[in-house]
Formats: sequence, C-alpha cells, structure tokens
Amino acid sequence: MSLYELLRGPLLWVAFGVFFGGMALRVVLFFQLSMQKDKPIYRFFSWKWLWLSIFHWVIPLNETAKKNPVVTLVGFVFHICLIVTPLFLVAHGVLWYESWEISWWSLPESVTDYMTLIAIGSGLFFGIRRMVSPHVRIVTTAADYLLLVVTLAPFVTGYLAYHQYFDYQTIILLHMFFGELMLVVIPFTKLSHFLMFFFSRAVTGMEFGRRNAPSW
Amino acid sequence: MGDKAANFNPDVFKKTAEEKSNARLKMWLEICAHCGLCADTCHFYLANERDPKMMPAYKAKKVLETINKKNKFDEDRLDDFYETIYGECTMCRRCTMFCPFGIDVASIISMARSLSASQGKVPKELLKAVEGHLESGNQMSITEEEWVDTLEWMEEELQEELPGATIPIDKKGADFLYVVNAREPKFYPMDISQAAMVFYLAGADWTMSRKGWDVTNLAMFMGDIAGATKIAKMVRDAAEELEVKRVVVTECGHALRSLQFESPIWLGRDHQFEVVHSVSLFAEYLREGRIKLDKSVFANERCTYQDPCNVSRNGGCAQDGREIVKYLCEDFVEMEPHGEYNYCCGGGGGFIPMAGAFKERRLKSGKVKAEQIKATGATICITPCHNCYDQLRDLSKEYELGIKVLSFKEMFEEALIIPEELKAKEDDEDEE
Amino acid sequence: MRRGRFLVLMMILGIATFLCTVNLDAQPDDILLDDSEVFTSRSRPAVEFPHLRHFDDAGIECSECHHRFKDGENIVDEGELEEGSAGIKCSSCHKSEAGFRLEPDLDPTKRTLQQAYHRMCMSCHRQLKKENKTAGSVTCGGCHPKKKADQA
Repeated sequence: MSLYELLRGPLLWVAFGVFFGGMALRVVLFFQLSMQKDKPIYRFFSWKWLWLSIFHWVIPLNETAKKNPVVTLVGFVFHICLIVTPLFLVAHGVLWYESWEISWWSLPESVTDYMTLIAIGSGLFFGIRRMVSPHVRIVTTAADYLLLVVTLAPFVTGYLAYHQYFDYQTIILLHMFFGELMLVVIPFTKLSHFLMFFFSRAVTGMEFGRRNAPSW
Repeated sequence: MGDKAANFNPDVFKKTAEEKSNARLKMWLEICAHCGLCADTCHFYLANERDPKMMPAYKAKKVLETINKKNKFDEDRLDDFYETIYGECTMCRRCTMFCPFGIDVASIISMARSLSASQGKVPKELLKAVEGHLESGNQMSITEEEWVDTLEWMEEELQEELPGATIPIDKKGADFLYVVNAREPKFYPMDISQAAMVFYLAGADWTMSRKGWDVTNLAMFMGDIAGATKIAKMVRDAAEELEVKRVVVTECGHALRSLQFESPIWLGRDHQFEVVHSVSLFAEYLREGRIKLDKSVFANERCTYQDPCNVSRNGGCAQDGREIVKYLCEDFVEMEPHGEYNYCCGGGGGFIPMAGAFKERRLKSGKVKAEQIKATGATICITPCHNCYDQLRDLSKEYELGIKVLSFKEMFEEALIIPEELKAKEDDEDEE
Repeated sequence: MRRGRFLVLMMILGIATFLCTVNLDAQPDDILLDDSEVFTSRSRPAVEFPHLRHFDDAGIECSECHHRFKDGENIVDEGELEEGSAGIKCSSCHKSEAGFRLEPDLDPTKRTLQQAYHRMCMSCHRQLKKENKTAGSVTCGGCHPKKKADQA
C-alpha cells in the first residue's frame, strides 16, 4: 500500500475514530463524573443562563473583548479561519464527494488561500505573544508550543501544497499526516476546548446566573 | 495543627485530591488555554507590579502540578503551595468573569485549601475561629447568656430614643429572622440596634434567635466543607424551627454567599426560607416608602460604593446597593469598574482574620482598591460587608485616603426620618 | 496481373492511410480539458488529459469512460465516437448544474462537469493505486500542476 493510500485510508479512519470517539468519551466521562460530584449543575440547571453565557462569548459581547480588543480580534479571526477553512475548502469538498458523494458549499480558493495565511499569521501572533508577554510566558508549557505547531502544520503544508512549492507529492503527504495528527491529539489536550468550551461556559453561566450575575 | 504541617501524609493528600476532583475542576485544569487574559483582572497581579506569578492561571497551574505530583509532594512544596492559595487569592471570582472559558479559579483554590487542610495546614486564626464556632455556635465564642444580654442592652439603648422599638427573640412565625456577624455583639453592638431601628420604623415583623444567630462561615474559606456544613446547619435549623419566611443577613458578604448559595449545596436541599441580604431588604423598604431618609444629612459629602464581591458579583445584589444610594447621597460617584465587575478590596477569602505576613499582603493587594477610591474623590465609602469595612479602614490609613468608611446602617442612623409620634416623650407608651 | 496487384496494394495502403488519419483525428494524444464555457472562473489550471495513454498504454475500452445512459444502461456505440460528433465531450451533457438531458429519452446527468471529471478520473486512479498498479495521479496537484500550466 502506498503512503498516500495509507494516509487516505486506514490512518484517516484511525484519526476520525480517535477524534470522534475520544471526544464522545470526554463528554460521557464529564457527565458520569459530574452526576456524582457536580450535582449543583443539575440542581440549578438553566437553559437561559446556559445560552446567555455561551452567546456572550461566541460573539465578542463581553468585558474581556472590550478590554483586549487586539487579542480578541486576532483570536476570533484565528478561530474562524481555523474552522471554516478546512470545512469549506474546495479541494476538501472534492474529497468528500469522491469518498461519500456528499457535497456542500465551498469558498473560492483565493479566499481560502488568504484565510490560510491569516490562520498562520494569527497563530504566529499567539506564539510570539507567548514568548514575549511575561504573564503569558509564565503559564506556558512545552505542550502549548507543540500544540500550536500541530495546529498550524496542516495550514502551512496546505498552503505549500496548494501553491505546489517544494516537492508537491511530499508536501501533500505531510499535509494529510499533520491534519490527522491534529485530529488525534484534540481529545487528549487543551485543544478539546473546541467542544468543552461550551460545557465550561454553560456551568459557569448557570453558577453566576443563579446569583443573578453575568459571567461575561 | 496551625501554620505548620506536622507531617506530610501522601495517602491522605491523594485521597482528598481524588475526592475533591469533580468534573468541572478536571475539565478546567485540562482546557485552560494559558492565554493570559486573566492576568490583569486580578488585584494581586495589579498591586504587585504585574508580577506574573500573581496571575490567576499561574495559581491554578500550581494547583494542577500539585495534584499531578501528589506522590512527590512534600512539606517544602506544601509551604509554597500554602503561601499561594492563602496569600495570593481572595476567591473573589473576578477572573472567572473575564475568562473566555469561564474557568472558576476560586473553586480551584478552594479545592487546594481543602488539600492543604488535609495536611493540617491552615491559618491558625481561621482554624481557631472555626473550632470556636463549631463548639459555641459562633466564631467569637460568645455564650448564649452574653448574647441575650447584649440584645437586651441594645434594646434598652434603642428604647431611649424610640420607646416602642423592641428586639424580639425567638418569635415563632415572624416574617424574618435577622442573623448577624459575631463581631457585631462582640465589637460593634450598635450595628444590632441600628438594624432594629430600621426594622421598627419599617414596621417589620422580625425576630432574632438564641441559637444559630452567627451567619458567618469561615470554614468555607478553609475548604473545610464538613465544618462549613455544620455551621450553616446551625442557622438553617434556627430559621426552620422559628418557621420564618425569610432570613435576613446582616451587612456581611461571605455570610450571604455561604447561606444563600453554598449551603443549599452542602446541605443537599433547598432551605425552607428565603435568604435576603440587608441591602435588598433596605432597598425594598425605601422603594415601598416604609422608611424615609433625609438626603441633606450627607449633602456635603461625596459618596462612593464598594461592591463586596460576595454581595454584588457572587450575591447578585449590585443594583440593590445602588438603589439605596439614590435615597441617601446627593453626590455619588461610582468607582471604575464597579458592580459585578468591581475589584476585590483585598479583605476577602478569610484575609481579615489572618494575621502576620498575610496582613502585609492584604494591605499591598488593596492598592488597586485604594487607587479606585482615590480616583472618585469620595469622602465616604459605603460598604455592606464587614470584611470590606475593615479592609477599607486599613487602606484609608495605609494609603492616606482620608475617607470615612460606613455601612448603610451607620448612615441610616443619622439620616432616617423618625416620625414625631414615635420619638421618646415624657410618658412612655406601651406597645405589643 | 502485376499492374493489377500493384493497384490493389496501393488501394489497401491508401485505405489504411485514410483510416489511420481518421483514427488519429478521432483519438488525439493529449486533450486540454479547458471547458471555458462551463469553468468561467477557474482557480486551478486546466488538466492536460493524456487521452492516447488511456487506451494505448492502459488498454481501457472507450465505453468505460464515454457514456450515455438510457434507463441506467450505457448505450454509447464506439462507432459514433468521432471528434465533433454530438455528445462526445463530457461538457456536452455535464454542465455547471446537474440534471441535463442530451435527448428527451436519455437519463439526466447526475454530476456537474467538475464532479464528473473528478469522479471519472480519480475513482479509477485510486482503484488502480489500491491494487498497486500503475495509475494516474490522485492528488490535486498531480492533475492540476501549477508550474507546467504557468509555462504553457
């Protein structure tokens, strides 16, 4: 089996399996433990405060955004590019169609090309911020840098592949590998915040909410 | 017991860590992105020249490392850990409001305090107060006799001015039970008569209790949930025995937080009464016109309002305090930020009773509050919390703010408009 | 007699040459899949499709690719596959939207032109790759090479 087939076939399934299975397990374990030890969540459960809490942070409608406009802007742009680019990339759409005949909207390649650059640029911004801001540096661990690399690697290789810089056949294989690597590490690292963010915001929103105080 | 850990017991430590690790704590310690946005939300960080070691995420990280290394944890590390969790956090939860994930660092610190307590390492002043509270029913170890004497004495004092006023004790079925901080009978008995005066003028149906009258709960600050539960139960039992509809908490912050929001969790069920903070009750009286204030009394003063974390941010009463101020002050200036977003004064989390090096840190961390107050140009700083009250007085001295620190009750005593017919006359009239 | 034989030979040669020419016209070596009437805005270079190699080297039957479906059955007759004949190009039926019918009684198209190309090329290339046989490219840049197109 060629390396391409390995990465496109079995390893991709492994990556999807670990990613979806791992996140499902995270959620199950959260519910399991919380039902034993976090009873207040259920006792003071409130959809109202749950949504309010998520809403004020999914869009930058909070004091932190007002206080830190630059980090907020770069942060939002980073996250939007991070999620939207791979999902609505033309080339990925072709692969979805090839594999399962499913198709959805895609963005023009010139747009996704810029979005890739923005994702890389804003990721670098956060990397540099980590190095130069004393208060960020002190809480930074090796894992934080590694995860930033893992997050940006699919974008860097994707960009190189699209423009066919260097050896295209090698770059495309690296791109597939890093994409799968990122999926695999998500459930076991802080990257799991892509989902746990909603849980965390919900519980804190309800905890502040039952005191009639905002958490944003 | 006390400041020094006699022996480090890894088994107990491990067991406690296991017990206290709930789903939220685990999730928070895992997902913290180390973004650093919490740094300048913390008054310790700002007051200590932006020392990165003072930022909330760093303190949380320290706790995480401690839990992960539970087997290699020893006395030296415990000392370092102890300094952080007691000396660098008031559990005010301001950082939580600014954290994109809403990570509750206060509950992480609270868990860490439980861990520390499992090794017998707690500030001795807190421990002494809690032990006294569990034994005598109040943190100042006042006997029931002394307590009742104090109430009777205050009633007499009050009646000199308002002959009809009383301080009812154990009146079953009253509208509300008024519970206080043990420092009131011990050091500031006038607080009780001032409250009684407000209740009398408002025509309230109220009572005090012989037992379970001290609503403070310092065990909460030690991460001693078993102790905190017992203490909260004393108040709950007293209130439910007297079959009151409401329990009104004196102008004290952590007492409200512990009785209204934490104790229903510890005790496993909702109270059979409503818990109301004094500011909410006072605001209600003013709104309904049951008491009237003479605004001119403080006309020459500029007032500002210190939101106690546990009344505003963690108690949801930020607006009530402001409503009262409207009836009381001509010249009112808000601190920036204020309300739920207010900075902790530095006196929370058990800091006030803690002595020694903790006092220095408390005064240093209060720099942020001192500057906030200075910027308002206020001459009076109102605060409905005993801990804020003490801290602000200390800060006024330390940073030469030249302010008067007053509780609402103290201001009411001067500004309340007393109907002529209620004032003392030559011949006393009888009331029920 | 000799003269007659020569004539026959010449005729055979002539017919063969004619047939050869016709054959070459019908089956060009490389086809630039430009389709500018469908791909009005394009972000990748058009594919240079090595037509000859597909049946010469790979031995693929015409009707494995060329198709016209009626009730789910490919009714293409190899004889009609000549350059310029109706429906010989993919883009005769596969447009920017699916659902086109070449003739009223034929099945409508299921795929857009882009989907049709990708499907037709890549499914086969992948299958061969899986069987460890010589295969065409399966990656984007393999068929849409930037540099080559830039030079052209």
